Amino acid sequence: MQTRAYWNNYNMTFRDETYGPSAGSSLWQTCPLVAHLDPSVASVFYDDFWSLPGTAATDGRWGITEDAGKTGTDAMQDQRGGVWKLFCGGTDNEETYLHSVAESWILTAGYSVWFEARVAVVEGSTNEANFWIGFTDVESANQIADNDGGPIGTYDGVGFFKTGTALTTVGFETSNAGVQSTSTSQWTVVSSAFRNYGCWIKTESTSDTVAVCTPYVDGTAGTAHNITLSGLAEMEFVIGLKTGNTDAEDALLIDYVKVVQIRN
Amino acid sequence: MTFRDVNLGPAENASFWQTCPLVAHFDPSVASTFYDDFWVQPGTKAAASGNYLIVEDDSADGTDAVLDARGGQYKHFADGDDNDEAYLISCAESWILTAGYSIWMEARVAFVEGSTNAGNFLVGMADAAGADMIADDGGGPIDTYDGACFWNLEGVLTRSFETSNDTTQSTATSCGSHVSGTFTNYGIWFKTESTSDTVAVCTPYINGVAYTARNLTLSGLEEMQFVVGAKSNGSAEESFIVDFVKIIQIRN
Repeated sequence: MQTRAYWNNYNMTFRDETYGPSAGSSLWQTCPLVAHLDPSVASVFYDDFWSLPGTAATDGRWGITEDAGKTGTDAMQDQRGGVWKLFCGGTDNEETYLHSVAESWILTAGYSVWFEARVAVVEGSTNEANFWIGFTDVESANQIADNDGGPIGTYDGVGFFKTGTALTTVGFETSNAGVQSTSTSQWTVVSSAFRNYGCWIKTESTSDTVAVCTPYVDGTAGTAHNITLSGLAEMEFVIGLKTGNTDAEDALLIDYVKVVQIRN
Repeated sequence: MTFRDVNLGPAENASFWQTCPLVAHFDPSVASTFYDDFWVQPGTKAAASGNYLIVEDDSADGTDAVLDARGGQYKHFADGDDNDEAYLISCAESWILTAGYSIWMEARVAFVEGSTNAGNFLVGMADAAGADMIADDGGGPIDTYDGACFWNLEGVLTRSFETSNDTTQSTATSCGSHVSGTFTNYGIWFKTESTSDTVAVCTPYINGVAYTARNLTLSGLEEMQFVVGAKSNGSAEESFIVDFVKIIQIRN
């Protein structure tokens, strides 16, 4: 163990020679240390999934919106770090969403947000799953459109998505009502393999009119998208899955979700 | 790099957490963090809730409850019949000791004897957490489990520590003396920093002070749960008070 302090984007951060992260390989190197520690500076939502986060009847910090009839049993896994498995019904366009119970985040000028979720998608049939990971103000059914349609056409939010086609089709999108900025096919996923999906939503001045949303997958930055701040509504954090047309039950393995937003 | 405050501490080498990288506390991509300060009751035997299960014999007279005390403290009773017991156990097997994935675990617990030197107590991590994790009749930890734990036995004031891989236990380390009703910080640093390690070096800490380390062979280990518990020798109801539990493990 050899932990040292470094500067990254004018931000003091820490890296350990043994345990990492290496330079530029963690989203959290962009987040001020004080935001993790000082509640007067930032709010912190963190779930490592040590226990079941409830059922379709809301329990605790999460709610679940889903179609009935799936046969898989949602359960904690005997795995390192707390991992929860959530199944989705296997009929075409059936879906399941794990969502925070309240709209606790809103993108406002000067209030940066960092989120990261470590998730694996377990495909019931090759290349068929659709998923969404990120913020949205539409935390209900059909955040993912039917028939491999990707994210719905009207919402406020920022997130990652995959349509029910090839595994290379993980994209990233920002949306203000009906106006989206979308990148498709930025990353590849492997069924059952964990990836860290993160985003730094940067707005450091109260005079900002847009926030710069930089996606991070496994700690590496992708192409940033702007989002216009005017008119945005409060959002929930949502991880969702929708079955494709091969009619097999897909599932999510969720390791953790962490969201930090500047408070004042 | 670690931090100490001149006024508030901890003093040099007086905290177990000075061995844990700072980044592991706040960067979830580096490590997982389980932390409970016991602000609310962690469920019941009949209705498990939150992050715990309770395994126990029925009929304890004491009332399990969060105490009116600083920092969040939960008191749990074990029935007083001979070999009756109670365990608070994390609800899933969420930690496995694998080469390169160090673990830091600390629990601040007061073990309260119903009558002098009468209780059997245990705290640690094990894959066999459940009924009879403490063997009957002052037998100490069971003979077959994967993990490491502290314990003390009826009629004996010595705190002991061991590691276990299936049926093979290390020689017990003596870690000072148990005092009924006094909070003690029980920490274990399971150190393995290379993916080529074949053993983890498990150092027990009492109130931030290290005692003799024991090696633990990694091959064949199963996933573990956190467990704290008490077993009666029949003279009175034992209880334990938990102030906090914090467990960090390297994630990737």
